Amino acid sequence: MIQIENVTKTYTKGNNIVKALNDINISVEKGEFVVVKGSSGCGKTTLLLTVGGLLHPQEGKIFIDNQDLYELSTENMAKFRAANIGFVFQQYHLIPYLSIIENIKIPSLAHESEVPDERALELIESLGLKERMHHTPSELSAGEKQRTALARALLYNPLIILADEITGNLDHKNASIVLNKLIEFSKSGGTVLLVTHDEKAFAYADRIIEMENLKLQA
Amino acid sequence: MKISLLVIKEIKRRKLNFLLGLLSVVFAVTSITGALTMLKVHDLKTEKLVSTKEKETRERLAVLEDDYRKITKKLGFNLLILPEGQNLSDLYADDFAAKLMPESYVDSLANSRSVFIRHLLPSLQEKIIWPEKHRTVILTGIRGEVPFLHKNPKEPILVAVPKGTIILGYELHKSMQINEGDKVILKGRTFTVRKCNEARGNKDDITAWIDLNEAQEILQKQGKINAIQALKCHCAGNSLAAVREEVHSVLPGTQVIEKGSKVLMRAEARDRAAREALEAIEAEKKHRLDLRKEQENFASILVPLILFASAIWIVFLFIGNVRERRSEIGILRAVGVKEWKIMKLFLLKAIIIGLIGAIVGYLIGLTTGSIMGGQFTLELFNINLLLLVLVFAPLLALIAAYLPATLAARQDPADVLREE
Repeated sequence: MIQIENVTKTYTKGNNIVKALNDINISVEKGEFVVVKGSSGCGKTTLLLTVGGLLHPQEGKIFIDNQDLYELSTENMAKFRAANIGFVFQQYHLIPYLSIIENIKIPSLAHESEVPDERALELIESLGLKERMHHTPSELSAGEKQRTALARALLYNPLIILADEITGNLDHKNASIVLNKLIEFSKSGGTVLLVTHDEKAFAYADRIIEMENLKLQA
Repeated sequence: MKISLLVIKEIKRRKLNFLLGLLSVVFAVTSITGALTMLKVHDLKTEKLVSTKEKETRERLAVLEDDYRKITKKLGFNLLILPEGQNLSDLYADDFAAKLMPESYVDSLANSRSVFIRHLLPSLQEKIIWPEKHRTVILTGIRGEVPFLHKNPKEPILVAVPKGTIILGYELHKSMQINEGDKVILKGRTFTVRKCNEARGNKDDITAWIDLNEAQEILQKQGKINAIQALKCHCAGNSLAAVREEVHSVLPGTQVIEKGSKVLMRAEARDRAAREALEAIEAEKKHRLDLRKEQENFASILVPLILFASAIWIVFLFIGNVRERRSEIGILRAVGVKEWKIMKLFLLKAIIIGLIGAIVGYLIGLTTGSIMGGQFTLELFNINLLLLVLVFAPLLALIAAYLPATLAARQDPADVLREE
């Protein structure tokens, strides 16, 4: 499902060139739940954003469902992302002035047709957010915010979920809810790539890949 | 989910940002509407002022016209109709015309449908030596007023001197100690003195008036006259030319001169007064126009400055708004929302600010302009101006918001998502 081939990503900071990813190669199968673990600053988030089509690598190729991601135009990339990729971030990135149900339905802005309300309500219910659906993010706990962010990512049944330290701010109970939902997603055929250094997540992974010295080590 | 829902919810959330943007547009629209309303008030005042002055002048002139008509009607033109070829220098030197014309001329004039001429007095006049008295005398033969056939007969202005009678000027009867009722002999004919005139201080004092036919016989100029006086002619303003034309149409070749210039002077005075009144109005108009130009010049500098400042203010507000919403923009881009939709988020907000700002600004501008102009009337409500600002204000906000919206759309989502 995800094919990362010889990907190198560098940043320029003033006159210095900083290498964030160094010749990364990885393959993730459909329905697989993969955890990429590593210390802070090892390039986990960069990897995730590169796989998500948000950071163009200097070298290498990324294929998702056999589509060379960076061959796509900006317009088509946005379309592809909307249809196939769901993101969940540690900081949730919920829109503060929208209610929970409205935040969950945000991806519909990227689609021609709006998703049926039933789908949003089903996710709300399954993630235990029914009582909070008309609240705004500022009125929610960290766990509820992250569950909302996960529901938003799952709304259009993407092929893959890219998750970045999603349990970092959560207690054990909320972490379990979120991780179990990801398990459920992968069991239904979805692919999960989770980058984290939170050990709670390791138990849920089909495979754990360690990231050291800008490289992945199986 | 619609973009408009996001825009409205964002406006509700960040009211201050919206109100500041709105204030900027309101200020811009108020300055335009206020300036144009003040100019309109000025125009209305000018129109009213000039119209009032014109009305007053017209009324004053009408009164003046009527007064002069009455005055000149009383005075009338006193015209002297003289024979063809009469040298006017000789006339003024001798006090009578040497040339002659048929007496029938006066009848022709009387039978015409004259509009201006009222009283006709034919005369034959000649300076002679009164042989019996050894005196120089102006012998004047008159037959009284010749009535106009088409006009209602009125009391004659001058009655005829009956045959066999004579009227004597002051110098004549005084120096010769003649009294009314006395008998005098003139060129062998005996006349009874009908009247002895009071002193007039002119040639009348040495004039003797007798019947026209008798004068013609004495002077051996039967059927001839040398002047027709047309007294108290209807005044046609200063149009002596019109009177002349009328006389000439009946008596071609004759000369018409005005005796005394009071009527013409007064007509000229009235014309001058009218001219001055009109000049005063023109001066007032010019003054108001100059004042308007000053206001226009002031507005033409101030309004663009305000518009520019408002636009810059909107640019900074929107840039602030974009910075505040980096995370929101980042996630929208991450979930696949296209760049133009991100721009739409900001541009739609700009249009809402522009539309509300246009309406509020128009009302404030209209009120302010009216108050500053010191006049409030429904005439000041200009639907075209309202439509113009309804187009202009959103356009101004759109132009100002375009750059920040583009920055938002081109923001790299990875930068934001990696930072957090």
